[in-house]
Amino acid sequence: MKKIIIAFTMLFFATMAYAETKIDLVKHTRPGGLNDRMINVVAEALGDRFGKFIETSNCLQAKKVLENSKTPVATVWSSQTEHGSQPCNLDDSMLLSTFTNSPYHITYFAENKEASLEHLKTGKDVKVGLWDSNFWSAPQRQFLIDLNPNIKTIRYKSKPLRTALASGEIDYKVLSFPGKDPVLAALGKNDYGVITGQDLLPGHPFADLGYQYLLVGVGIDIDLASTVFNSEAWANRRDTTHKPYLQDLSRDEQLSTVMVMLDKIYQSGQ
Amino acid sequence: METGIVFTAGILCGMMSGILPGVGSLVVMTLAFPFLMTLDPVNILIFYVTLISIDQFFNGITAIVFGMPGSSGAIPSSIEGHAIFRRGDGGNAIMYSAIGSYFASIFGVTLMVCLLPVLWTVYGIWTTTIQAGLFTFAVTMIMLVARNKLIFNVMLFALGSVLARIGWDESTTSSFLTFDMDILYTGIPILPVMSMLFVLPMLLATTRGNFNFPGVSIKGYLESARNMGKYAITLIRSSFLGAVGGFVPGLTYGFSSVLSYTIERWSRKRKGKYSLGDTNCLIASESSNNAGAFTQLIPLLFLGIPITTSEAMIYHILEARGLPVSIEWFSQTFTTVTIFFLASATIGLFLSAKYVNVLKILNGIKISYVYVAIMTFLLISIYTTGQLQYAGMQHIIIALMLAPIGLMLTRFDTTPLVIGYILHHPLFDSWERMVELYW
Repeated sequence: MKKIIIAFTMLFFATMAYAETKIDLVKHTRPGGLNDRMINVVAEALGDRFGKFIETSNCLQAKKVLENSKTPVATVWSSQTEHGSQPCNLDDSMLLSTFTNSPYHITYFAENKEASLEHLKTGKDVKVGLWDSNFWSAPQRQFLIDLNPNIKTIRYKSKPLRTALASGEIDYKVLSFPGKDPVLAALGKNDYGVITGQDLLPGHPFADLGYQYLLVGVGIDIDLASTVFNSEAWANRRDTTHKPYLQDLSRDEQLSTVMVMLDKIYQSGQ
Repeated sequence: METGIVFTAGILCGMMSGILPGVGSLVVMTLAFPFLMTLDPVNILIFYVTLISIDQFFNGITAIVFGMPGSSGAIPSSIEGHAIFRRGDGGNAIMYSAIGSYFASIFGVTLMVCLLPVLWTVYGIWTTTIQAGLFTFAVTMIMLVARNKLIFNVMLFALGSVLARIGWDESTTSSFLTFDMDILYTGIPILPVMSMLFVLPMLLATTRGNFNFPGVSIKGYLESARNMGKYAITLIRSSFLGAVGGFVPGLTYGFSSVLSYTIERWSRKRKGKYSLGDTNCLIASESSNNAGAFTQLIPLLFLGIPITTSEAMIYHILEARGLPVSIEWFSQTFTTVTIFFLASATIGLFLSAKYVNVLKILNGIKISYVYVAIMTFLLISIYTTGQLQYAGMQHIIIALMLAPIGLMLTRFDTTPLVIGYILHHPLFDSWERMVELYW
């Protein structure tokens, strides 16, 4: 009898513990940015299972939280952070699945009357702003220069990049989420019906180039990707260019596909 | 009803972010995120403008009375204001800076209203060249006006720049001076730098005497307002510079303050009128802050471009809730935002006067005891703000590592070091972009 009572008590507390286990989410990029917005969507999608946000200033702090947390914690992680050997690399067991992918879009300022495909391809002094990432700017630059050798690329941190088009010092910028700016072309299938990278330079190694996110975490007892994709929060998201990525593959297949792809981009970019 | 609650919450949060060092508007916005998600969109903007407006008034008081800059924009006020305070003239310092701030708030609003028809073109001239020019100008001025020899100022600036660069850079995937030490990979946070390399040397420079604060009064405010005429040129110049500085992405009114202060100090020095604890310089930095606090909203309201992380957060909340984040919508809210900005500035003026008089209870206490309390408070702030990222002890260790440098710099003006730390990234990034753009 005593054993039965103990067993029931343990089962009761285990059930309670499970029912109340919240999932915390780590924020590790600037507020309001794409990564931050993605984490907010995950939080909304989790509903009652969402615990709290843990604010960190970069991927290293986020990694520490993931490594030291005693409770379930997850976050949205840029794929290139896992490429090569970097201090932010996570243990393989923390990589849950792939999350989203969005092609890079070439955008321009609505007031810029000169902006056109013709100008991009044949202009004599074309300036394109790229996000300041060693990993992504190299292949983007290569694609643009192969498209038009007269293109000059300029790397911007996030905040100055926001105002660069409006200042008129660049003609175009390349981003995975174009926001309100009109889109001229995209390096992949897109929602805008604009010309793709393959149309511009068929067979170019970077004609299909996108920005991916992974889902990472510890102690996660649900299929986080499916939970998000089946939620209302996902249906109502603003960053609609980001779509579910490789969801028909197994976790190992997803991750190896991403790593092979990143490696290919990196090698070609060099 | 909701607007009233939001306005009150904005005032309380502004007081908190102004009084407590390290708790800037961004921290408050992050903490208030769940609350903001539930608000009417116009009320989100009202909350933000109230928060930053009130923050300016209280931030100035903390800087003047305790020498603690709550944010980078309050550094000039700490230098000049606290020196005035130590002369026993703290009441006047606070009243002049508050009246100056209030004037600048109105100036900022009036300037923007007058420029409304052409505001959309503002970023047509806001190029990397202009930004790099402004940063370079501000840095050069600070080197010229700081109280040390020029060569030493350059060395201090370089030291600040090196501190700012330490850590792992995610975009370039490279590390700088981390020596493979875990604690250094995440970089040197701003609060330990400001506390140990700016506040500590400044406080240690004079530790004799007692806390002596005569307080402020309505009569004093009115008299300060009447006397403002003799500071008119300073006030107009710094309000204008503050308004311009507010457009600098990422730095906004923090840069406004540094820019106006350095120009004022250079101008006073050139006329042979400058000495530490200069009221003109204090008014210049405090008023430019407030003008910039308003103009920083313009890119968001008229171009739909958020230029600070707090604004990016607001933008995201509006987007996430499926609200019409169009330039038309932002422009329609301009009048409402302006009214609440001015209302909060008026309330800030009076509330800060009420708050500051409470500090009279410290009168008579040895200033060295107050300074020990300030440094203890700063250490607690360093721990608690660090702990928000599970790194409280790391931040304390970094602060303690910096403390010996601060002690060595007691006899010096460490402003170039702190400015080097704050402006390193925008300055060198803009130079690099200039090279990429034009060479």
